[in-house]
Amino acid sequence: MPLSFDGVPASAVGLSIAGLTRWLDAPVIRREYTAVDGLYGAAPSMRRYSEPREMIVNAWLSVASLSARMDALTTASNALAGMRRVRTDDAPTRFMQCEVSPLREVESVSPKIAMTETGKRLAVAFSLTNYHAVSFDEEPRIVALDDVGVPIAVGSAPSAGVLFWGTSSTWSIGVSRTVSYYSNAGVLYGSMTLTAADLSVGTGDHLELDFARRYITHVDSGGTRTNVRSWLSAGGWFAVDAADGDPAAARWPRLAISSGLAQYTYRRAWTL
Amino acid sequence: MSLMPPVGSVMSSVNLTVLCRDLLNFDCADVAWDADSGQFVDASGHIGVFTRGADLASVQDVTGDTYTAQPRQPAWEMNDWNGTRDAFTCRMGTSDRFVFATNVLPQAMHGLCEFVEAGSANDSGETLLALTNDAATGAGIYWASGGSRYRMVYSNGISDVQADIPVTAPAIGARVLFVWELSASGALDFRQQVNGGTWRSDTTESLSLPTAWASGASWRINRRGATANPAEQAFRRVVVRAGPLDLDSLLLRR
Repeated sequence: MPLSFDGVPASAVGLSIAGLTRWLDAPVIRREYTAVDGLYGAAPSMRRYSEPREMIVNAWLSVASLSARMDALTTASNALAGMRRVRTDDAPTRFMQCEVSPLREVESVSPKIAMTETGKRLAVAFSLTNYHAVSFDEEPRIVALDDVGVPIAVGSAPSAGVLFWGTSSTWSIGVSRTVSYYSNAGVLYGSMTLTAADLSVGTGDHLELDFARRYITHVDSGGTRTNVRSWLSAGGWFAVDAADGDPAAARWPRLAISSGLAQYTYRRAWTL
Repeated sequence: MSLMPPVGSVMSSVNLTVLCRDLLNFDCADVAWDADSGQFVDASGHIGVFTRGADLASVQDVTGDTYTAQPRQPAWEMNDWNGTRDAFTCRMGTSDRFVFATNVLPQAMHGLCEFVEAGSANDSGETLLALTNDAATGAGIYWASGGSRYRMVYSNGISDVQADIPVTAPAIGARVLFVWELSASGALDFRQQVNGGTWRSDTTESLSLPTAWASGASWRINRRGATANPAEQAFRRVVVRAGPLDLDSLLLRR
């Protein structure tokens, strides 16, 4: 299976992929739970954790001559090792963020008089370690939100995006606004209420809520950025999760804002 | 700086991403966006500063609805790319600009600029990409509209050469790919492809490279100088690499 690393095909560094293992180390996934008022039991809430996954790649490394083996191994290893975007040709619209290990020789024959040049290629192996246990869509998405709730089509893993939240009329100090997360069934699974405390959000200003890094930033029309994480007066962070919808029927959980003009930017993620 | 995908799933911490060795590699679907600082870090490690002084209306989301981007808010827009999928682009109006500081020296280099045509094609002088100073004077290079076609201009600070695409400009909504080369002798090879169709190109005579670009020269997207010659486009990516043109390698997506 052809692989590419940061867009560079394995063949460009002299590798011919001979085989891959499956993803090793089955993921340990657990959810945190938060009780939802009015419901018996609990509902999925904040986030999902996954253990890293690893794949071993076996490949042939072409070399120009028997004596060039060490240099070829070093060159290819230097070209690949590190945190890379890895793609496979059967899913060209997605990428995985993997740490590529240095190449190691798995089969070596000391040069002998009887050896021919046809035996000069090296059998090598390296590992791909995926710390997130997901692949990502090549294309992020942006969707405009409203006060009713807009479906967020996510992949099989939760997606935490960035919410840009502006206003058409001033959001004054002391006034609260809420972003709400509903399941496809209309159950409130998460919400964040922000109360403007020391700044207003005027026309031309906006907030940025980074759900992955958990920042809330006020950006005024002149570009001045202010940390307003203290505005979070009720509720808490959440991540949009396909499990809160019905993916098979293309029905998705929804995000809604109580007032203003907002867009949610995210990238779909898929469990490995 | 953050090395996580800017919008993704909940993630664990990871080791450092390898920066690419390109002279510039800005793909708007592949930038680290720090909400706290407002800085973009592209795949080649350049820090970009985005500014817009006004709203930008009618930006299209993934459902086909439109929204108004606030001042200082990048107008991420979903645009049809090839009839089968939408691409994530950065829509830029005449008050938008990206500036990436650089200290790159004149050398043989090549690159690409990929965008969805959003209005500059039929105007004159609207600059999509530039390596110029604030005053847009002196040694530099830029890509701009020329009334009914696109052109690439290189100045060594004394003289200019200009390559003009010999066909009329793309229609609004067309997917446009520029590929170009500045050779070691200072000759231009400028190519344009629209919607994956036939390559059209123009070349120039050689014009010796200067020892340095004009003082203060930066990579600028959607602008030639600090304020001059703004454009209107939905940009997807800009790649600049050292050395002679290698088209197959250049077109690979990082």
